[in-house]
Amino acid sequence: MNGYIYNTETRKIATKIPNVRACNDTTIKGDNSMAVIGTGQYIITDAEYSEGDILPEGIEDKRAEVPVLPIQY
Amino acid sequence: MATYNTRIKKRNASNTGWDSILPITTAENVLINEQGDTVATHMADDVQVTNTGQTEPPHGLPKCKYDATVAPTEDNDSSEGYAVGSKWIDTTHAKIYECVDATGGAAVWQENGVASVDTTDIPRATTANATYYVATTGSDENDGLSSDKAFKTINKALNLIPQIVNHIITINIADGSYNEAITLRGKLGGGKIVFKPAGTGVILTGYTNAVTSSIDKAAIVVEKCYCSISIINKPIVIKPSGNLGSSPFVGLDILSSMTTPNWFMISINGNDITTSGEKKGIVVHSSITYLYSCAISKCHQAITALYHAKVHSYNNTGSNDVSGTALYALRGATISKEGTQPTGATNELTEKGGVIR
Repeated sequence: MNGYIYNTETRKIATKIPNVRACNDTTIKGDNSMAVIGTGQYIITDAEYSEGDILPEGIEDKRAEVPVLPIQY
Repeated sequence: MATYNTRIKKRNASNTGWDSILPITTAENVLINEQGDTVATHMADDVQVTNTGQTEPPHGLPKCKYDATVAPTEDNDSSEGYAVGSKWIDTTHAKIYECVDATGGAAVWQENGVASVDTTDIPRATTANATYYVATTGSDENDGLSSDKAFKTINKALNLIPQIVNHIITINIADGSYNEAITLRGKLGGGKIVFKPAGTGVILTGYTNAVTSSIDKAAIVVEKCYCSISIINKPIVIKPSGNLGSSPFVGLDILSSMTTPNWFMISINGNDITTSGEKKGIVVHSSITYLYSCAISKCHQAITALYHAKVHSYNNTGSNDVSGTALYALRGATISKEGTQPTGATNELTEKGGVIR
């Protein structure tokens, strides 16, 4: 599954995290990448989009199917 | 020349004291040839290599002169240190000579043809600290050494900086809009190049070709520099003029350089950049640098570090919430954080061994 961080107002995708392994409220971890969410929101889905695309409405968020990423201090 | 004696002390048979002290290596007692020359006599002839293109080779090589303005004479002989094999370049007439006989008062120099050495290519070095002044009201015909004799362009001051920087070169920039880019390439040494905007109104509207691949245009480029380079006091504001079409743009592009310990201060707002390409604040590629008090807003990426770059980000600000990433480290690069950081839709992104900590 892929993680997408997008602008809340425009729904423009800022960051794509392929092959999401785990996530929590602030962080998405993929195979070779990790992102910390800022002012945007994120969604986990099987659908394929590219950075810069507008995320369609009504996409099911599957973050509940992804393991919880432990919070690191 | 200082000489150091190393001595061997030998304990006596009863182990109650020293019964001999043997100097073994002094400059005076180490022979270097069968004629009785010692290290001391040899080093007494030593002369220094200077920063001005002059020309004493290491011991064992004949003395040469690469900056002469006349041809050698029979008096340029062994008494001046020349020997068979010495080279002499007459830069005025572009001729090269080789000594075939260094006999005192009867030296023979053989012309070997037109010199192929262009002395203008010899790296130059700073000889003292220098401060230049730049103002939009100035003139590049001025000497730039005082505020009332300021240069008109930043590049006029940059062109006076030699490749080797062993002193502090300060460029004071008065408020105003400068339609030029800043490029520093190949500077090295133990000194510093310091850009010092007077206020918050120093605006750079020009741009040049970027050096990091995937970016097309840049306002400030630092490439292959190994001396301290910094923008201090106030940030330089980046506002490229005109329409860049689809060119990706970066405010500050640093490639293969080590610019610490001082820092860069820039201010860039993506809304001031007209391009359909990506807008980036600062890109640091294979370099070590320190970013302080930069304001980066409305960019796709505020600070990007790639290819094992090391970036320290200290008290930088800005909102890149359109669709942007604030801090982006990839391919073994590290961004270390201290104080405030710019924000984005994505605050931090690491890929392929990048680290943000």
